[in-house]
Amino acid sequence: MLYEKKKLLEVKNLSCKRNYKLIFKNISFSLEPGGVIFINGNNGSGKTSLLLALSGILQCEGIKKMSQDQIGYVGHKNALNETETVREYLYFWKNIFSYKYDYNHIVKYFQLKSLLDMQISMLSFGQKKKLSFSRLKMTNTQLWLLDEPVSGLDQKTKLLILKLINQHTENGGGVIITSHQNLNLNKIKNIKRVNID
Amino acid sequence: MTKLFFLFLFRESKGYLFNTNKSWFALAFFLLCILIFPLSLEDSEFTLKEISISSIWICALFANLISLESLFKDDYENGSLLQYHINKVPFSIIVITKVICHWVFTGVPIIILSPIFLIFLSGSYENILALFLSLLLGTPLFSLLGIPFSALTLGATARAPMLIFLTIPFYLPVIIFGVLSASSFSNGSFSEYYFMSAILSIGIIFLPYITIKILKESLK
Repeated sequence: MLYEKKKLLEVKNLSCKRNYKLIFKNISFSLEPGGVIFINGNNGSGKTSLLLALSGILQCEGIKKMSQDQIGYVGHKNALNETETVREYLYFWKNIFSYKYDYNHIVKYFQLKSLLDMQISMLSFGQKKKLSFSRLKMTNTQLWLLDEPVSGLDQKTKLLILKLINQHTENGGGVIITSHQNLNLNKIKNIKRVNID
Repeated sequence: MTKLFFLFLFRESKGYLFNTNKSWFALAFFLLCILIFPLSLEDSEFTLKEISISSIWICALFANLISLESLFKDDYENGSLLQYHINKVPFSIIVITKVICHWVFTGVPIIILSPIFLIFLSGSYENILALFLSLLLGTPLFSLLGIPFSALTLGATARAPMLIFLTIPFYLPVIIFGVLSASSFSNGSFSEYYFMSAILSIGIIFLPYITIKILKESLK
């Protein structure tokens, strides 16, 4: 286990309004190291808003306690500068996170070697998602918030991302996932489901 | 912090140099805009000489204005701003590097080219230094005044016209004092320069701070 065994996140009676409209009400859960919280809900039920509230972007009512200030977030937008190359992108975020290791193992894991000098605008949706997860892997944070991480991806990429999530929980990390699909997270023992419909 | 500053400065500069619609578009617009004046005032050399400084200032204003739209647009739309905020990247660095690059890649080329265009429009070497100094103070003010509005209009449906309508009233004092300062330079009066320097000093301190606040709000 790489990380501490302290509770990663505790949420009590979290309610959120956006543009004067109540998005969700009285949500409570806690996340321990090695655990996954799977947030279920229909489109428009407030899954993304909940993640944004947890990441500190949206102001909400209720109690939110986090063991770490830093979190890793992968959302619908991949934060990719289309004019950059893959190598430039990885170099940029490596420096932002002061990631002390070389990013070659990440390139190898996501099979990005042949794309390193390619412009991001030339990449496919799945390849862009892989880059987004490459950034996440460099964050070195215990808590990951993933918004629909595998939607629109092929089976191979989907398995690669699920493997990454499994590895992260094995190392003592915690993950909050929103998805309307059923994900194969059988290896993870500590899964909680939260419904926000 | 210094490392981050240079990282962003390098990334932003590269964007301006290799992304054609960022700086080259503003500069090309400035050149085209300035060509309109001699073409439309073909027979009246005297009028052209009289309005040469004003016309350069007007072209500089519009060139700055159209380049404002792209300032935060890409970072906002692709989710980079959200990631910077979540990952606690200081927004002060982002805003300051954006202002510096905007001025360097749109303001500075205009300052350099303007004396040439002044000779081209007025046919004399008078007022070159006056125009150069007034633009040296005015163009960073354009960049500084424009960034809060560029941030404020992020995500708006009719962003481009909204940005123009909001920014122009704040650009007007700059253009008034800019033209006045260039015109009164030969009389030995520098009061307008002092005034613009004062506004620039205040702007450097407060406008990036206001922009940071607006950017954080725009993510909500």
